[in-house]
Amino acid sequence: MSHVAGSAEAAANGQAVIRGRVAPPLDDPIVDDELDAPVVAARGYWEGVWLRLQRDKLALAGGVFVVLLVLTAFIGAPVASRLLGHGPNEPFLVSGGLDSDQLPAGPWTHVGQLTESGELEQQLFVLGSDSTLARDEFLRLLYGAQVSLEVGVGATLLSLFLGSIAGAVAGFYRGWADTTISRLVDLTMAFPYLLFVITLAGTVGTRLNHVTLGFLGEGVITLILIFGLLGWFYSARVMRSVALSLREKEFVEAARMVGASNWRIIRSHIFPHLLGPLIVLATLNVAAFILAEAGLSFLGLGIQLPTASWGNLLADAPQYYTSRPLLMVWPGIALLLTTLAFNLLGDGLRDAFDPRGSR
Amino acid sequence: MDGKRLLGIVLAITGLSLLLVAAATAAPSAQRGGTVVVDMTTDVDYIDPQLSYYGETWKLEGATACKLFNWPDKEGTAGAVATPEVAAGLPLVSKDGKTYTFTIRKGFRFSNGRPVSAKSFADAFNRFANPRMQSTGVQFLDIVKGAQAVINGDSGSISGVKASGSKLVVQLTKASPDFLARTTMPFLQAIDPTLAGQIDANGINQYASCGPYYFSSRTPGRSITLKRNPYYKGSRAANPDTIQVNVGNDVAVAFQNVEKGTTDYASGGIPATEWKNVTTKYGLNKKDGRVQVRPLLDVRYIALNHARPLFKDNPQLAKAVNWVVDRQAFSAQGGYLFGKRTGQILPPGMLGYKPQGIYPLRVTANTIKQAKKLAEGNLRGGKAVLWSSNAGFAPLQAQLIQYNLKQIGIDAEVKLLPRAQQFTNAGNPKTADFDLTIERWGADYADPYDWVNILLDGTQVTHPQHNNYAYFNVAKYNREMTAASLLTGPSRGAAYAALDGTMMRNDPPWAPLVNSNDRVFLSSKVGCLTINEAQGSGPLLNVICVK
Repeated sequence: MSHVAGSAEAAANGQAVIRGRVAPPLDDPIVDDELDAPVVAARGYWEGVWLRLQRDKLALAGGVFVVLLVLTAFIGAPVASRLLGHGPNEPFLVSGGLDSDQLPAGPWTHVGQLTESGELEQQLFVLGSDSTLARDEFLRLLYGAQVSLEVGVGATLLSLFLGSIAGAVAGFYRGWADTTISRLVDLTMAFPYLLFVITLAGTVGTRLNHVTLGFLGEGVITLILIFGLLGWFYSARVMRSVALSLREKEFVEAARMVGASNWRIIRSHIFPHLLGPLIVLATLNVAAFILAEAGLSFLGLGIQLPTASWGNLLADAPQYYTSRPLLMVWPGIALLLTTLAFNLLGDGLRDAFDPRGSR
Repeated sequence: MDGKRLLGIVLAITGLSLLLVAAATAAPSAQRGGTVVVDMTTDVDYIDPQLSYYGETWKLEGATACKLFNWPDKEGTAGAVATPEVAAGLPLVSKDGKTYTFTIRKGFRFSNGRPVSAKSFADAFNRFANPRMQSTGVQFLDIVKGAQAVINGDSGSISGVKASGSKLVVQLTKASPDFLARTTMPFLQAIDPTLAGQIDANGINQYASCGPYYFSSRTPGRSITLKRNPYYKGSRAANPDTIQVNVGNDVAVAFQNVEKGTTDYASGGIPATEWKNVTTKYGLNKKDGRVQVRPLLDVRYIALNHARPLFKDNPQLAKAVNWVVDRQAFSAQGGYLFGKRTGQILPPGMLGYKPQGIYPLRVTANTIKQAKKLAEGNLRGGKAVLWSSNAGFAPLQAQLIQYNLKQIGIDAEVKLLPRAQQFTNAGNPKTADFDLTIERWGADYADPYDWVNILLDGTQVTHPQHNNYAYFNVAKYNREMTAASLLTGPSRGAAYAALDGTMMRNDPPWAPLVNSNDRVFLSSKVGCLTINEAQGSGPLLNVICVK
């Protein structure tokens, strides 16, 4: 049984400085039977994070919402499509999809579709029609969540991957590597984002849109690349500042003293410390990228038709804002709640990763 | 009081009363002055007179141009007869019908003060034909002697067009019944000597013009300003001081602007679903009313690109597309009073129009079956690129066509483009990388030549800018089109009707969809409303007055 810090490796990691009981004060003589008492195991780093996160009910609610959203989008959407008997891109113009004024049908409307045999088959539109094309708004909202999450998560992974490597390298090596990467960050920050998007859309955009990797929607890869390549600078700056401070820590010095290579130090001693800020950044970035997707779809540069995304649902809705205002409300609420959930989760995680926040 | 004095007082009172009555009748609520604000959803192609070939630009050029012959600023049939404008009267026509001698009326001046002469028109012919201008409409010069040599770059000026003093002589290669109608097109308006010397395929954005207005400025993608021509002495109205065009507002924004009165006319239309509301709210076709609807000589169609593998020598697939497209749903996307479904080339009201009844105007299970049967074995991979405008309800229409194509096994990728870019790229063989494009054509003048020959004559498809978006080039039909264009009277109509039926039945170049209406929504400030469909859609901007 050890009263002090555990292994040298643990010390080098800087995560578990003291395990078990701390040394008693000198004026409190150690009593043998106290030493024999059972020792309470100290909390690990991740356990502490989890406990602190559990105390933040809003963050937990955000997390639960995100999990439910993922399940709804990727499992719920196909199930709902099967149950309702139609897909998100099928127009129902023959019967019921439009009302007598040729406007999109309202919520909870039964619509008809001609079958191969020429019979009229009744089906339900839970949230009504999406437009004068009379497609199921509910299904398009669910399938739109898939696209929005794919873009949000994909772009976040790419931007964080690029940003954390660039930031860690700049912060750890300093010198010319830092100068080069920092100027690259400045350049990326100053880059005219919309111009890049329009240029990409007008050149290789069409070809890129066809890349789906077998499971993504058309246009998702394009957006992931745009957001990833232009959005890595923020995480790079954060990672650089963390790495700059970490490289001066004793456990890094200790690792260097025992002969660890730079790459080993970055991989085993720097990166684990970047994980906390990275997760926080990720939750905030996902929300930002989902909003950006909506913005680009609104400008007609996002997801390819007829694939639904929350962005293009929002883009189409203003045509009906006086006659069918709910068409703006559904995707708007979905976007609002998702952004809120990711932000609350991000805030909660930031607090949870901060050990000083344990009070 | 003596009699003379009394008589004097009575006369004075009578005279004053007459003056007051005259003043009251002569001063309408609001006539001259003010600014008319127009919202356009998408930018024009050019404002250069020899290049612009877009309805939205022609609306503006209707106010800026002066032409040999023009459509009077009147509604209905009175506005549909081409009458001399700068020409002093009807031209002298030689016995063989090939030589036209115009006398130019005195008094017309450009906005820079220079007089309009016969040379101003000769310059327009030459600039139009200049190969460095790459004008889309150059096909209209096909009957002018010596024009082809200029178009080919073999000559610097058209030998068949001569100007001398106030006389303009135009020699044709063949007698052409629609030549005078062609002179009403903005391509052939009088141009100032400065503009005549500016040869630029990108177009000129500021030039002096001789109509009631001139283009005082243009910022592409943002705005166009027209000001009254201070030297204009013609008979046409020039009511507003300024016509201000704002470019790029979405239809929803334009609608709100017109409702509020910050814009007077939503040139790109309003949201499709609002037409029913505004018609109910403000009434339809009332005198100077806010909602006006008129039938147009117009067609919306899908051009099937015969130069690309999917539709090249593949009439069965072209027929399948005609069987599967849901014309009713396509029309529904445009909203209330959008237009009338059609399955043929010529529109109602056009010489040669005869209901053909070849393709269904309503989709049923049977029509889809028939379409699938026709498409079977003719899909050639089943991939296609579908072009459409990105404005208003056009993306919804494109998605509908995309769905219809999927029903017969064609997986179409939709590409949305700004309208001017769409038809400019579609008419250029180097950039026309589409299989289908949703197009719209409005008559330049009411003659089937402007429909059939201009849109489907295959001899044009190699020109760097043309209107045969279907790249339809069949020697037999080319010959028949040329032959039909030389006929007059009922035989001309019969020849075009036969062409319409034969082409659509045997080798459809298009899938025609709808003959649309001209729907106009105006602010409450607008008065003096005149709509002349011969001049194009929308109200005549030079006639409009703001209250």
